[in-house]
Amino acid sequence: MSEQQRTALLVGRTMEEADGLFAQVASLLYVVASCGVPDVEETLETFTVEVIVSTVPLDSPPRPCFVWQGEQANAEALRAFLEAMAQAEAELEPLEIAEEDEAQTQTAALFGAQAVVVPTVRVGFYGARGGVGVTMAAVNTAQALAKRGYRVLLADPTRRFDSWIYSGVQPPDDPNVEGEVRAETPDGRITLLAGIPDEAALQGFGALVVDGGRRSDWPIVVRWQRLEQRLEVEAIEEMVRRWAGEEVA
Amino acid sequence: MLILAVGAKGGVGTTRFVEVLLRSARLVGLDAADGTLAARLGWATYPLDAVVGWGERRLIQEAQRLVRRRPVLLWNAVCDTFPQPLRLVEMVARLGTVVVDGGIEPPDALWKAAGHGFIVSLDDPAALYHETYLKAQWSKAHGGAKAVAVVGNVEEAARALARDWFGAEVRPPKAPAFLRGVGIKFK
Repeated sequence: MSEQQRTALLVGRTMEEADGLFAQVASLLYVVASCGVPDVEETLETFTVEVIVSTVPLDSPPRPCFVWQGEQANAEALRAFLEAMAQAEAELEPLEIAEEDEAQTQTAALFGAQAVVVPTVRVGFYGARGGVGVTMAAVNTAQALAKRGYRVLLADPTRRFDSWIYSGVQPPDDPNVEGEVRAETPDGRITLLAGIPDEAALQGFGALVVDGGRRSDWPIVVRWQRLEQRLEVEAIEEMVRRWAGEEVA
Repeated sequence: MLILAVGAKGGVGTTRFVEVLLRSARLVGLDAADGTLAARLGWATYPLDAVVGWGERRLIQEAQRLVRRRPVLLWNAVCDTFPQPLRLVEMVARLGTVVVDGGIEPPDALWKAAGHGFIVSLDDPAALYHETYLKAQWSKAHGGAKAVAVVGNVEEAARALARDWFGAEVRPPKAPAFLRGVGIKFK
């Protein structure tokens, strides 16, 4: 890795969250601004107080990348702030948008060519014992997110291909097939990956859902949800509505 | 004899199958899955990593003791690394019969060492996918021998196995404690 330094802007709603992002960033190729604060004033206050500006050594040229999924007004406020921060940076190189989709277009419109889409929803499921519906929870969550316009990566680090089968995708004849194995659901809304996705593989996806089987110690940055019993589809829908910022009855 | 029970997927009843088998016949249980077998049985446990570094003579003595006392043997990651735990299991399997709850991903060493394989499965596309693969792998690893798929009533299958293979006199299930002695018959 070169000695070149790259500035990372880590934005969290709380200092704890920002610290959490900082802990994750060592392995991230692109840096994400985690947003979602509803009020403009609060947003600015939060960001001016709790933005952490730090440098991480990466062999790519310096280019802060932001992902925003908040409201437009908040986005404008954040954008002004980030642009002021960015002026102090070295000249920025535009990033290519990996693939077009609605979420990406929105993000790109907010931050121009500086934006790159990485998952803002990251969730993983695991169960302490068999039969609690870990795979079904992951598949249903992925589908609920896809229904709301997210480009979803459904990762199966166990490489058992159960999430493929329940998503209607034919798994390979030999589950021990080596290397990264990918497929798309018949409707093309969910990408299935058998293996452990690295951060570069997550570009272009708005959501990452992981079927962890019985383990939560996979080297994947997600919020792990431990399942003790089957998660009803309604519960998943409600969870996803929250993530998507929809009103929950 | 070393019998391995493998689940085609989680929640198909592999542990239940082994549990009923152990309750129905005088066999030694080995939990290579998640440790729930011993908890369900309520029997004493014996972590196999304790024998790492032991000599052959000591292992033989221990095997004889284990066949008499029948604690549930516990396999963990350490047992994959050292030869003594497998050696001890093989000795116990020569003196008696060991039934392994292999979970959905049994340790390689036990997969190879087992003489009989039971794949606990159910009527589900994912289970069927793994069942097919496990059968093929078993056949490959055991010179063309076939693993038996257990689909449906795993408890009945375990009782039938205990009766047919081990001549066990299978008792009907016990009445729940609260029904005993109150004159209500439990069938």
